[in-house]
Amino acid sequence: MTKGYLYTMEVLLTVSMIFIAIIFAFRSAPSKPALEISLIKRDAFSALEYLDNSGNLRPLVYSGKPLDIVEMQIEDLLRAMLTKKVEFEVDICKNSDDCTTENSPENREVIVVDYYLSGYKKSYDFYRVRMYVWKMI
Amino acid sequence: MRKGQMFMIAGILILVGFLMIRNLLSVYQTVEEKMSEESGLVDKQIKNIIKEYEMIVGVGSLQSDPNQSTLNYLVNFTKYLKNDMTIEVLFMYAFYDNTTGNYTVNIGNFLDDKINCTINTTNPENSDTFDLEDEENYTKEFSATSSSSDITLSYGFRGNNRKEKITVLTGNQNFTIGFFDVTIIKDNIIMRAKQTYNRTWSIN
Repeated sequence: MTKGYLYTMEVLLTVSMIFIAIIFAFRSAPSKPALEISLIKRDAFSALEYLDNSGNLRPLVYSGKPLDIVEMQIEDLLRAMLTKKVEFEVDICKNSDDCTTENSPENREVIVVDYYLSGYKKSYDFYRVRMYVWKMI
Repeated sequence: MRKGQMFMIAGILILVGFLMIRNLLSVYQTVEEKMSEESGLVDKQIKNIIKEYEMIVGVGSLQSDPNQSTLNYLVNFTKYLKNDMTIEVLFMYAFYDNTTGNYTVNIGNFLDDKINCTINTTNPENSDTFDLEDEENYTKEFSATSSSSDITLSYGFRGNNRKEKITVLTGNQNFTIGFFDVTIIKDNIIMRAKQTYNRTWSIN
């Protein structure tokens, strides 16, 4: 009677240990840094794509205003669309070599996303709207 | 060893097994999800590029010399992209000038390889065979005699035969049409998209 009771207790203990382990093991998704970068890239590109599709990006870039002012205006528009967990900087440049980042941190992984513009109305200038994105600490 | 202790040992082994499976599954899921996200991004990039090619044809039609302007910008934009990424592009562009009754066909090869092409037109009936080196383009003018012309481009590329067709409207309005075949190669993702864009307009 005592032996059987002990066995039953041990089996019950084992089964509950397994259940608890399953719950803990599969409760939360593991951290996926590589995936996070892809998601940030996609979100940044989608934000630029949305700005273009909604008719805001192209008129700003081809407005003839100084590019640093246009960059700030685009940053303001993007800020409302992107998560607060990331910080970013926009740079509009003609060639890849002309693109520079002033505010992105040196000791962090900075994600670069390019959106191309080939022209607007009668203007045929090519531009690359480059976004530098990094995660907030 | 007592029976109860065996249950405990088996339980611990099962626990270790679950933890290992969990790690394996999470690695597999991350790789799959990352691949899916990356290909989603390349898809967005290719759509951006195709849209810009359409824009070039549209903006080109507003210039005083639509054919030459558009051809120049198509070539320049493609070179601009090729400086930046691994991309293969073939474009076919045609412009019908209502004032002369002629239309011009342009083909640009940016496929990183020589291609041997055959181009057939139905108005007038004509066939041309030629080779196009990488970053080379072909231009030929035709005189239209009816209201439309089918242009078929057949070309051999890396052992495959490809065929593309566009129709040029040669009626009483100016007409422009662009066909773009774009392939982006990024890491181990290869994405190809084809698109045709046309515009008709009158000169007042």
